[in-house]
Amino acid sequence: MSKTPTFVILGSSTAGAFAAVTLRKEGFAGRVILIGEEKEIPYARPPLSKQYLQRERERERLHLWPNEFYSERKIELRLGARARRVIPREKEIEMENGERLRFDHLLIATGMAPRRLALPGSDLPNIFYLRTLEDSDRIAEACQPGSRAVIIGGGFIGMEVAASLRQKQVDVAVIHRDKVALERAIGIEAGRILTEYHRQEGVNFYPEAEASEIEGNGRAERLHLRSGHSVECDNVIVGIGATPRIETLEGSGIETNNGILVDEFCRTNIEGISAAGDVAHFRHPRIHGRIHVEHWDNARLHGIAAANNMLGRHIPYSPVPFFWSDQFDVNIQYAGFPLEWSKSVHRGSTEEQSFSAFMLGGNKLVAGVCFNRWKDRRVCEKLLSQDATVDPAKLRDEEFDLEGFL
Amino acid sequence: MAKISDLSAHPMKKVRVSGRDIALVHVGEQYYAFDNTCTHKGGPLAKGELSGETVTCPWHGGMFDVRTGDLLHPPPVERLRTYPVRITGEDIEIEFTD
Repeated sequence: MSKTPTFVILGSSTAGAFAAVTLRKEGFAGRVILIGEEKEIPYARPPLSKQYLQRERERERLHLWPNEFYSERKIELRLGARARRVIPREKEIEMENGERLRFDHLLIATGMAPRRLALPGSDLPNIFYLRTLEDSDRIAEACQPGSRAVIIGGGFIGMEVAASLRQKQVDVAVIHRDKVALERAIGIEAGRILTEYHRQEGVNFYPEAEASEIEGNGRAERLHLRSGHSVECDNVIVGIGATPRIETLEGSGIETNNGILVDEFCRTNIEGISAAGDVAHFRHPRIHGRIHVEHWDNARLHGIAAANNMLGRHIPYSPVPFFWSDQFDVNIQYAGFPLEWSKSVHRGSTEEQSFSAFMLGGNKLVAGVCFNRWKDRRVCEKLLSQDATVDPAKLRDEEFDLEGFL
Repeated sequence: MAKISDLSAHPMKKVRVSGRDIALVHVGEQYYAFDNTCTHKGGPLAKGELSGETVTCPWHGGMFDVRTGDLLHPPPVERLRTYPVRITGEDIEIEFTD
């Protein structure tokens, strides 16, 4: 490493920005260059499907730090800049404008891109995806009160956009492939209860459905389903998952498999190159395998962990994955591992929108999904970090204070 | 503005200054001031829990560092605004920059 090493971070994402700031916070004195494709300074994406989409939050508030924060810390922002390829042998990145940037250590935090529809009519102009601030602006602009939006996909993006648009008096229909929305993310029971809340608010659902064609005269007006049904619409929003942004790594020798493969220290197979956030498929010490977490808090913590490891701290990254969602008056918090579970135990009341479902493998807690009950989530996080054994009867018993497990 | 004695019984208190709800906390030898309103859904932070330098929102469990406003646990994603505090005799004074 040269006397004043240069650390380059590819991706002005949550992981990338937290890594850059952490390098400085931890006293790194070399150059820090943060490269971002978007022109906006790093911002938080979770409000894009919620408060920001509902026009209840100003743009500036989404910024992780104000502009001057970076210049004060000599973090060099290269925004609106695109990388063409990473060349590990030369320890260089070739930018799209032909410039070559040398690095002593590279952190790849390029995130994911929305998966695109591939149907007849997919290229019509009023079909939207949601990843960036501009995407959220476009959806808010298009979906005026009284208009009809069809959402393809019953995952978090689909369900949060459904709730936000419905609260703006948009007529909303969600079409999805599973029996209930969010089934894969939070389990069929929790998904069913959440779907019921949406229905009460006036959201229509087309479960176990798949779009076959989008039809219209110059714009999407009608969505045909494989079942033969069709749904009229003014706009279509697509939330069918995302794919890792690894196109600049082709031919680089950096190992990928559904993301960039890294160990618990955020290192790729190539010395001096790390990865963090959505794009990383990381080895988790607790579960003896690799996982891939596409949620905000993982991006934040993984970025911090990567920075510490770039500084040679050698601290394994071993989080209890956490995510949340806000839909209408329901706050959902999930803590746990994406592992097999054999039974689930419920606590609280679904009618009062205050309950938790705990997933167990034997008497070991695997995960908990908590509706309007963040304190249950807190206990769940602590139990999971201790790999604790729990008595299912006590989990169910509202008379028993869960803090008693700790 | 508040008195040091206001924080003797409970180390966290909401005060209203220039039309803003500010939370004042007493940690060790230090006093800190920050917006009382959680950046997630507006939960009243002074009614939450204070543990060391960490405040936890009573509504959804978001956590912040009271010294810097740094986020420590979502669901909030935006940092908390903090204000410099000056002690003059028995008075706690909060400095607004705008």
